[in-house]
Amino acid sequence: MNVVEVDRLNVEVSRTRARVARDVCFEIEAGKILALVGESGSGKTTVAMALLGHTRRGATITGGTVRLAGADILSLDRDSLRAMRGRDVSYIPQNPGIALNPSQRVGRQVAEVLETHGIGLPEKRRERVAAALQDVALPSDDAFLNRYPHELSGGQQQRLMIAMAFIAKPRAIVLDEPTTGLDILTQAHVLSTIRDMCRRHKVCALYITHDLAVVAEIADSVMVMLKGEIVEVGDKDQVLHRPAHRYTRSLLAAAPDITAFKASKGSARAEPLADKAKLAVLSGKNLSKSFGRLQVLHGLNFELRSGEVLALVGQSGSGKTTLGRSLMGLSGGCSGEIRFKGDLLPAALFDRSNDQRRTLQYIYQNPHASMNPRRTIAENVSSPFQHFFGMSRRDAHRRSVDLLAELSLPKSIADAFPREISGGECQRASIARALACSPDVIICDEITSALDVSVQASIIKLLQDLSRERGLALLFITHNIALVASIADSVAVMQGGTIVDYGPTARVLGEPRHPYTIELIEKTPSVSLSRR
Amino acid sequence: MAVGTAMVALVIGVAVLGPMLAPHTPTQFVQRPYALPSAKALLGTDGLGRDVLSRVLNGGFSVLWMSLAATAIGAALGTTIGLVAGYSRSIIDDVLMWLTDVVLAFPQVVLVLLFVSMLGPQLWLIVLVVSISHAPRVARMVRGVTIEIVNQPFIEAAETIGVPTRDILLRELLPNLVTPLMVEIGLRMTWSIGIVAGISFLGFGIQPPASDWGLMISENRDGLILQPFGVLAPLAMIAVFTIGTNLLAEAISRSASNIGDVSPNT
Amino acid sequence: MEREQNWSPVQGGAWLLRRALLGVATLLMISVVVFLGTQALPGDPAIAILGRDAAPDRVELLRQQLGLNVPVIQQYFNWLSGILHGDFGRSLASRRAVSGLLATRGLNSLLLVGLSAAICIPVSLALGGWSAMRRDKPADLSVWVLTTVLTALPEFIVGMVLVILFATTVTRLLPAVSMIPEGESPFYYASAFILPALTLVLATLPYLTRLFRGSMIEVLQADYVEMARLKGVMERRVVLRHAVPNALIPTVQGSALVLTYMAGGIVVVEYLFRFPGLGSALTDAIANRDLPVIQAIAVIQAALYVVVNLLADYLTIRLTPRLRTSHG
Repeated sequence: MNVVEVDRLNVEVSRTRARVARDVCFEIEAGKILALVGESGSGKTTVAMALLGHTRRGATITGGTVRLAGADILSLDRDSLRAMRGRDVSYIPQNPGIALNPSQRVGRQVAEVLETHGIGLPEKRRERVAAALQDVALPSDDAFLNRYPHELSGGQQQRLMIAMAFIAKPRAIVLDEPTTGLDILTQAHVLSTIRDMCRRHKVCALYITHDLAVVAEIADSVMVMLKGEIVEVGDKDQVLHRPAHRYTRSLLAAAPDITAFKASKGSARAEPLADKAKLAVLSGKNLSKSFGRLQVLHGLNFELRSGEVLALVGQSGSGKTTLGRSLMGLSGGCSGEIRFKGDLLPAALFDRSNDQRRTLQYIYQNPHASMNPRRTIAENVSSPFQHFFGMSRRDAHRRSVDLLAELSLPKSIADAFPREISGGECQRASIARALACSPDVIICDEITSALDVSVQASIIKLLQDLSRERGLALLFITHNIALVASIADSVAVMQGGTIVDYGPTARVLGEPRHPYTIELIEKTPSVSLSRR
Repeated sequence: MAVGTAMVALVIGVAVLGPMLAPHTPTQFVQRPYALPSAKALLGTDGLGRDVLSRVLNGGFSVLWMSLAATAIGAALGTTIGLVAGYSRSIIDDVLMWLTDVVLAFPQVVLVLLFVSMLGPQLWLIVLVVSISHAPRVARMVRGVTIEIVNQPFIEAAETIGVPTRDILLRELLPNLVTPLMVEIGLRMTWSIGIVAGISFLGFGIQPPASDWGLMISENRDGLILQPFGVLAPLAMIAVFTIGTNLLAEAISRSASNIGDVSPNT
Repeated sequence: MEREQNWSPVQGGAWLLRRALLGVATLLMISVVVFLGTQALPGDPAIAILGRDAAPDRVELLRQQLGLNVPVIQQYFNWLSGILHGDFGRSLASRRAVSGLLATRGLNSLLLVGLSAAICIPVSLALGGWSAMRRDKPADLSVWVLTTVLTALPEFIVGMVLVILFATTVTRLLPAVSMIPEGESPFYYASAFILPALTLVLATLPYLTRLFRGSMIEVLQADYVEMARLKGVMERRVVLRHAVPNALIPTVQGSALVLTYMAGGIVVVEYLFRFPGLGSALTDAIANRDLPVIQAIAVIQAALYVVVNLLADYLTIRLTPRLRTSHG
């Protein structure tokens, strides 16, 4: 029996009358999970919100029907709609950290659902909240209920949202990228909680995500959305393994997969590694760093040879970004010995020579924030030419326009301001700025994690080419171990400020030795290894 | 925007060209005291029988130059302090902010009066103290925005590619401060006018028999029942001036938020 | 998204203690500024007070009265220790102890500022909240126009307009001059407070209204407010339980600013209405070059700022769970 039935749903932006959802039709059976996949701006959140009869400021539903357990949601008056939300259909947001009221205790926020809909006797509600928290494996004592949201970890916050969503025993649940901000291990826990809860309470779910590997993990069926339209719907296995639409195929091709290293074994990437005689261009010995009393790096050792891609993998708080920034000499550097092209590298950026600064470059996660918003892309890219090579403004500008073209950016980008171009284009431009320095080593700090999958794939391809053609050494910092398989020669796995596993990619991913690496690989969702 | 510009232009026009257009000198006895408007004195006369219109036309220049000067000096001083404090990320920041707090503790008018009390009502002193009282307020704003900008990676990116500190301050930071600074200068100008005119109103600014809008209001308020224009005319001029500058500041900040200086989300 | 956090979670209490110590340092610095601005200026304060042609014996007498015959540093410490003992010296004009004069005048001013704040704060919150909920609608725009015009106007202009409207030219409903005979309770002279208080309210209302409006708009767009709506919570409750408590936090600092601003505003307003308070005492003292009174009032004004801000910091911490609890 279908719990949710959506028929020819249309949503427009009120001011421009642009369609953000066009003739969207789908249904979900009780107890089933339908995944809605799409990249940013595809309109997937808009569709999800329509299930609760809600639109964000500035958008209007212009046509179609949304039926929930037979009731036509869009034709309900305000009060009946309100009575339905939270009771018959509930919502789990992307970022629980900002979806919880910072000045209200968490127990109260869960209980509010019961109070609002007058569910159960007032004196029994505390018990029921406690039971709901136990359901999602959270503590249910008074001390926990009396906490404020900021006193919970990201994973706890998200499980609290799940408890809140299920407490009124709804018929359907809408989940909007609920694991995006979490690390792999927490994500695995949250995903299994969701799957388990849906099955146990026979609740159907619409699960919004951009991550096909997560789809493989959780969904029964899949729906792919592109520019406001559904381009493909079907059973999970069919869509993931026998995709019909071109766009679905390209998404699948772009998705990083933890098993990809097997395919690349024996390819060109293995060669530079074999050349053991090559000297390390950047190496660290016994690197440590503390912030106040808190030690965040504990005696790290690593070596990076020219042309090598070393991936630094770790969850948030593992110290990987701190290591990258310390190598750059930012925020005071670190203790220990850093050698760069044979010489000892001073810890602080301002003590380094011009040449050292020039040949060691850094690329940031957020491309827009790393460009001066008041200067054009060409101006941003040209400053190394002026400062390191003493070129005139005109020459520097010409060179940067050429460089941007080399990285296959359209001509018009040179004179655009950062805010006028997309994240992918802007990240390419920041790569151009790093290349303008003619560096030997580039540290890439999560440079693809703010980008869509297909854009991410193209940036990874670009980095591989650069490393091969120019003999660049890359330190690739990422939280996504699946990404490592497709780019890195060697991998260092970080946990709690130490490197727990270090070796060639094929070895670390293929025969992981450290229990943490094994767990990380096991918990990383994968399209090709969908376990059910 | 247009309204604000027109209002400010009107006041500047009156203040600068007024003395040439005035039918009488500001200190000349024209008619009996507190005479109502007539052909001889279009806005009537004040308590000493002087022509109100002529005094209004002559009384704007002091407010104009003093508030402009105080705003300019205060903004320059505040911007420098704010930039240095915001970019230094060290004890310099703490010390500078503490010093601004000391100045902020005094209400602006009280600070001016304190210095005027012993040194006497000298115009340069008033300009100087008003600008000093503006500086911490501008500095706080500039420091706040600077820290926000410095926390964005593009400043660090500039440091790693070897851009010298002077260029970082002037070429990377300052351009991003232009819009908030223009808004702030507009607001400071509004306050400057209020304080400068207020000090005159209290009798500690420009001294009689010279004419000045703030002073006129104070001089003529006892005759309000007999002849309201002696108060109304300078009052309207000050009001138009402050509302005009405030509208300009408002317009700049609105247009800035429409463009959205923040980078789009990805 | 990891970025090192080089602050350790500081407990609210320790932070407040640090602020309090800093406040004491600020107060000391304030006393230095006041002293420098008046007594320690180049030239002889006694001559500045009496004028250049004063008889030498009178100048000498005044120098003795003011304690000017010792080195400047010692003058400062004598003066400071006096303040710390509640002794601000004697008024040159009235020969009375400054502290006594300030007590009667201070009570009037305190009532004036308290009354104005008691009106301004709730009215601004109501107006700001009302405006935020009708964002970009005619009601909101008219509040915008009103506040833009009012913020721009200096207090004495607002006060004069009120005098013209209610006390002289247009109507004569209220007194243009606030008469409170010395020694009598100000409570018997309620009408003396109306126009001065209204002036102060109109001068500060726009700022606080806009602050709360902005804060409400931001909070109403917050994810947790949307989440509350998606939970089916009634709109009234969404606003009162989820939006308002969070939107109120910035208005604590805003209210502190309003209070300290009013403390400065009374100088002009009291002069305008000839209201017998601290502000008019200051203008009188400056006209008479009554040095001890000027110093005392300036110190009190600045000290008020430090105390009010400290209180506001404390309240903000109490209202913000993230700051109140010591966990990271």
